[in-house]
Amino acid sequence: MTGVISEQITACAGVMESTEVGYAARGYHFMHRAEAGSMPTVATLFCAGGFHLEMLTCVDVREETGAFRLVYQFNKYEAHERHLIHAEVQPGAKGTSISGVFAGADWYEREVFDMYGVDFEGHPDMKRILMDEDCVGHPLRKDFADQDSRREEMVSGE
Amino acid sequence: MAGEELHAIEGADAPGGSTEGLLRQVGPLVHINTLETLLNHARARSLWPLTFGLACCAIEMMAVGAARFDLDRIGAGVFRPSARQADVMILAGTISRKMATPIKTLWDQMPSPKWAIAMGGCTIDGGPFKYPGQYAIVEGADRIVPVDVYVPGCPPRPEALYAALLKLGEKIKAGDKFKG
Repeated sequence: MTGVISEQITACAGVMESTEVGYAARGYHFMHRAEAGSMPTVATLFCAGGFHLEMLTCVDVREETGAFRLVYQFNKYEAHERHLIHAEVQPGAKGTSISGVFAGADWYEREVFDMYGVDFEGHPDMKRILMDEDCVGHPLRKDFADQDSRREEMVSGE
Repeated sequence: MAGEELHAIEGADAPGGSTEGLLRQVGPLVHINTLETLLNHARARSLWPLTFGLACCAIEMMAVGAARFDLDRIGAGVFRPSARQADVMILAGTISRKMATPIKTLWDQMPSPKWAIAMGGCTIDGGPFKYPGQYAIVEGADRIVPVDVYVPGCPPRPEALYAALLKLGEKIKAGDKFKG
């Protein structure tokens, strides 16, 4: 494996699997699977290596794996090296916040909480970010369907 | 105002002719009407919109305010930064549910008489964001504030908003006599 940081990441505790993938086909160079609890350590390594957090999102794959999949992307323009990290979080369990390492992760994590209901351990201000405060349920969950009881009534005038 | 004019200059000395003859030449000199009608005429041509944009329609609204279309020509170019000073709310753009509460607050802060213009498809009924099961959008501005003029378009052309403000002017001037 080549790359400026891939060996450190592969060696990091909590990183279970690392593969090099074709950038031309996939848009990133390395893919890792990690435990959600190890993400602050992994993020610290990326931060020290001069990488930035490019995105943080989530996928509801409960039908396939029974868990939510957190997706992180780190990039460094100078090295042209992009890493994709998958971390699984069981329903009801909490992810671990990396907002202490990358401050920009704060709102990403709030968005994941808002849309998927995945909470993050150690987040300074975990609340909804996009939906209104009395929204019921988490809209991007596959079973969201009709949880939102206010859909018909809506905000009325006086 | 038809039927409410009074042709009257009683006791006026009309040089070189009768009073009736003079009146025929110059038309009605004094209009007797309610103060409200006078105020409505003033209001219709001094609309102060709230500086307030919700989405892409706001860009068109800014264009209407700028030099090319120039809302100042009809006295509606004074966009006020405070709801307390504004009397027309141009709802320009998608209304998310989270934004519904602040919009209602702003509307309540505006002093009466006040009017609302729903600009664009989103504010009319949710527009392109309306589908069964949507969870984020208020389907129509009239669910939050009483709308006076609807402007269709996505976004409407600046002329359309211009026409809407003129239409609102007509509505204000008509006062109680406004029909449809």
